[in-house]
Formats: sequence, structure tokens, C-alpha cells
Amino acid sequence: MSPHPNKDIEIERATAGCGVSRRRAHAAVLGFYLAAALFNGEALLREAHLLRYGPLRDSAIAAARPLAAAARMTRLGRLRAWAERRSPAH
Amino acid sequence: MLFPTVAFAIFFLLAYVGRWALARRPLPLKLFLLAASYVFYGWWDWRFLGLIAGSSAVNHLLALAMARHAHGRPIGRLLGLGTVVLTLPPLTAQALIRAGAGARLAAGVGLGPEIGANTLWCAAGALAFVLAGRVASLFGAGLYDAPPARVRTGMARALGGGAVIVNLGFLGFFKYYGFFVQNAYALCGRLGLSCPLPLLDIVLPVGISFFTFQALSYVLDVHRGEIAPAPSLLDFAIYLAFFPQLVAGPIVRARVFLPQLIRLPVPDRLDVGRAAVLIFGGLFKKVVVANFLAQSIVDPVFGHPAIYGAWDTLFAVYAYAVQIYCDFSAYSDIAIGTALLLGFHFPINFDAPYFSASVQAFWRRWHISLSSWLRDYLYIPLGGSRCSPRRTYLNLFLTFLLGGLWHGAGWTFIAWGALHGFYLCVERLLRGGRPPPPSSFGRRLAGQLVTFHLVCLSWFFFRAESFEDAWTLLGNFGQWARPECLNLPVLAMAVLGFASQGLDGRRVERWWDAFGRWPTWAQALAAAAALTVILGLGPRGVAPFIYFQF
Repeated sequence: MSPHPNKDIEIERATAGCGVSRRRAHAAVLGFYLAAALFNGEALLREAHLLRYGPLRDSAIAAARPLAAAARMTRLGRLRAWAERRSPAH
Repeated sequence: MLFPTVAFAIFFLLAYVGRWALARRPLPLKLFLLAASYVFYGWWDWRFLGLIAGSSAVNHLLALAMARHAHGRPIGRLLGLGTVVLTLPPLTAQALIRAGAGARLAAGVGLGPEIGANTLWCAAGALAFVLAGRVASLFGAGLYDAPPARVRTGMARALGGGAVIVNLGFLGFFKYYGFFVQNAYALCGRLGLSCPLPLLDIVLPVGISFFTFQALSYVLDVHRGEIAPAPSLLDFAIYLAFFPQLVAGPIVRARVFLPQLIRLPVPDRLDVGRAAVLIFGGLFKKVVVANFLAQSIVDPVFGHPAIYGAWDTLFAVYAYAVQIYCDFSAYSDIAIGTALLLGFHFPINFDAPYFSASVQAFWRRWHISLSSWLRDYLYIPLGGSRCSPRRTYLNLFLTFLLGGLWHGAGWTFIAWGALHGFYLCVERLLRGGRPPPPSSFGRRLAGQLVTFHLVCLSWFFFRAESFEDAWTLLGNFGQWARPECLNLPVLAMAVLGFASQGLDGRRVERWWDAFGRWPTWAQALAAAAALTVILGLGPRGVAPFIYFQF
């Protein structure tokens, strides 16, 4: 039971200055959220409709509706539909 | 709150924005991190917030007492005041609840909703936590900056022993009480005696095994003089409850995480490439591979072992080996990746365990944070390998037996641990204490095959609901009928899951760096597309991670 050689990968990489600037990282994270919302807008609306009746469901539907409309308009929602058609689990 | 859900996505966005918006204001940032972690934990059941807050307060006060004692400062008032602030608010809450319940019963309106009692308990826990923080700040001044010291006196031992008893007491009550009472009833029934212990319906708080082991490592390291106590209760409470690894590990040591929390560096660069590969690799392993294998072959075969033959049983245990690796390593990877995006570094927890050529090597690569915890706080204190050969074998066996019990309150988990302890003893016996010889490709491959199958044999006991089920599954190897659950998607997914071990360690370091060099818009788009495909390919609904139950 000796110490693991790969244990401190992150410390070594941080010391070596790996990665991107903080500003670029923030832009990537926020861009990711925006793109993910567009790719999955229709699925989000579908799942919001499955929630139990109540204020949470109403606000989820209200929030997902414009995303679903944007996903349809930009046709980005097709990626999710394509993946679902090919899923071995469905 | 589960990782692959919309709730967590929104929560993480808020946590990310808050973390970096408050980056240069340490106190608000720490308060924010603690609040975020408590929201994450309270999402399951907010009543258990009192447990984790209480555990933080008790352990921090005990660590302070140990450090003060080691530096020759009086500890009587600290212990006295600490005991009062930790017990008085809960006792008052209990008295108020009883008085309220009595009044309601006297008025003939029944006990009313639980919410009143729960709110009182939670308020009492919060008050005790705040008061404990005040006591800690009064008595902890200067201890963090002083060099850690160890004093071997009766008081030091008593404090160390007290810390172990308190932590194991928490864990024992919530996790093992039911198991212990059931077995006591069975034993008393056989002996014709009546069992005096009450049967309680105790809900197991999520992640209790993980945060208890983190708390234990902290107090034991302070007791050994290896680290100084945290400078404030706030720092320690964040260490114990930090949301990425709170529920299912990795078990991060205080000596790794506390310095990061105390300095709170504002890094110029973030390792987005590594974080992305960890998070999306983890999501793929969990949502696509683990969930699919569970639904398609593992749950049906292990749920009804008597109706399947040898082929189905064989492939179900192979699939389970892949499922549990994909499930558990996924949680660790996502935890490490999300912590990385928040500017914190955690050590890896898995390193391609099924490529190991011996069981000893397997335990250096599987759940590394637990195996190193068991080594440092159980195996070595028991004497490790620095005693007689017979005692060494006993230490090894006991360590894994207790490691098995840590996983779950059941005889099947104990059998799983005992089997691994037995494997390690036999390996040690065969090697005769010598280091393993340099091996050829063929020899290594044979070692990997044998190790994988020995580990699979142990998974029968780990996954089966009972011993009867485990024996039935093993008995299925007498009937080589045509397989019913095996098909091409199952086979492909099992191979894909097995191959996903290639993402562990430094094996795909080039990918991390390559992804980091992409333009920002391409990184965002690729990550979002990856998430979409993963969510689309996975089964509908989100299955909880296997290790949540531990």
C-alpha cells in the first residue's frame, strides 16, 4: 500500500500553469450553459410538463417555453432528438 | 440533488458565479460556500443539516482542545463551554417540543405536523453551531499559526479516543443500529431470550460514511500532530460539507483541502480541459453506460437469480463490475471536475483498477481515497506489516473486513470485505514478502485476468440482496442454458464501459491540453453538444449513484 504516483496530477498541472485564463474559462462556462439550454430546450419543456402540478411546474414550464421555441427556431433541438432515436435504452 | 439533473445544473451555475464574484472577499466567499454546500445537502432532507453542523462543531472543538493541550494551554474552560453550547440549545428545543406536544394533547388537538419540531431542532442546531464557532474563536487564537505538536499524555489520549468514539457513535447509530438490533433479536430468539433493545426506524443520512471518515482523518491528524487545527469553525465546516465530494467522495484529507480553503487563492488559470473531460466523461459513464447496464442485465439477473442460467449470471457479474466502476468513478470524476472549476484541487480516486495484475494493485487503483484512509488510520495503527507475519495477516484481514462493513450494514458486505482480505493474505503468502518480480506481457495479462475474475467473484456478494441470492447465483454455473439478457447493445456498452478506464490517471492528458487550446466558442459548443448526446442516449429518469447508500 504505497502512495499513488498519479495522486497529485492537479497540483502538478496547476503549478505548471496548465489551462486557460480565468476570463476565458468564465466565457466557456457561460457559453456552455447557453448552448446546452438551446440544444435541450424542447426536452426541458417536455420534462417540465411531467412535473407534479404546482407552482414549481408552472415556473419550470414558463422558463422552458422560450428555450423550446428558440431550440425549434434554430433547429438545435434536433441533436437531442437524434441522440434519443439512437439510444439503445429507449 | 443528483449531478445529472436540471436542479444541479442551475445550482452549479449559481455556485460558480458566486464563487468567482466573491473571489477576492474571503469571509463572504466562505459563508457563501458553506451556504451552498448546506443547500446541496439539505436538498435531500434538510433535517440532516443539524447532523453535519453538529459533527463540524464537535470535531472542531475536540481538535482545538487537542491542539491547546499539545501546546500546554488549559483546556478545561474550552471543554466546559463547548459542552454547554453543544447540548443546551438541543435540550431546550427538546423541552419546548415536549411542552408543545403535551399542551396540544391536553387540548385534544393531536400532535400536529412534524414541521414544528423539525424547525425547532434545526434552529437549535444552527444556534449550537454559531455558539460553538464563537467558543472556537475564543480558544483557538494562534493555534493554526503555531507548529503542530504532539503530546502523549492521558488527556491527549482521552481527547483522541473521545473524538473517535463521537464520530463512530454518529456513524454507528445511523448506519449500524438497525443491523445490530436485527442480529441481536435473531440471536436472542435462538437462545430463547427476550431482546431489550428498541427497534427504531432510522433513516440513513446521505453521505454520512464519507463525511464521518473526513472528520475522523482531521481529528486524528491533529491528535498525531501532523496538522494544525483549522483556524475557524467556518473553515472546518466547509471542509466537511464542501458540496462536490460531500455525498460520495472522494474522501479528501484535511491536509490537502484545508490549506486551499484557508489561502483561497485566486488562480490566474483554470484547467478547463481537464475539468471538461472529467465531467463529461463521468456523465457518459454514469448516464449512458452504468444506467443502461443496470436496467438491461444487472438488475433483472440479480433481482431474480433463480430464473437465469450460467451465461446470464456470468455476463451479469461482468456487467456489474463495469457498472459499479462507471457509476462510482463517474461521481468522483464529476466531483473532481466541478471542484476544479471552482478553483480547488482534489486527488484522483480511480486509476484503471481492472487493469491491475494483482489484488494489491487493484486496491491501489480502486477508491484510492478509501484504501489510503484504511491504510493510514486502521492498518498502520494496528501494527501494519511491522510485526510478526501472523499479526500482519490478521491486520490485513481485519482492515478489509472493516472496509467491507463500512460499505454497508449487512453480512454480504462483510463477506465481500473478508474475501478481499483473504485474497490479499494469500497473495502476500505466495509472494513471501518479496516485491513482485518484473513480469512479461503474457504473465501480466494472466495476472489481470485472474485479478478481474477474483474481483468479480467478490462482486456477487457485494451486489446480491442476501447470502441466499449470492449462493443461488453461484449455483447457476451448473446450468449452461442459452442466455436471455445478453445482446449486442449490452455487450457493446460493457466493452465501452471497460474501455472508459482509459480516461483515468494521465492517460488522456493530451486531450485535456488539446481541449484547452480550442477557441472558447468551440469549447462551449462541444461541451453542450456532448451533454446533449449523453442525455439523449441515456435511459429516461435519473438513477441515484450506487455509493449514495454507503
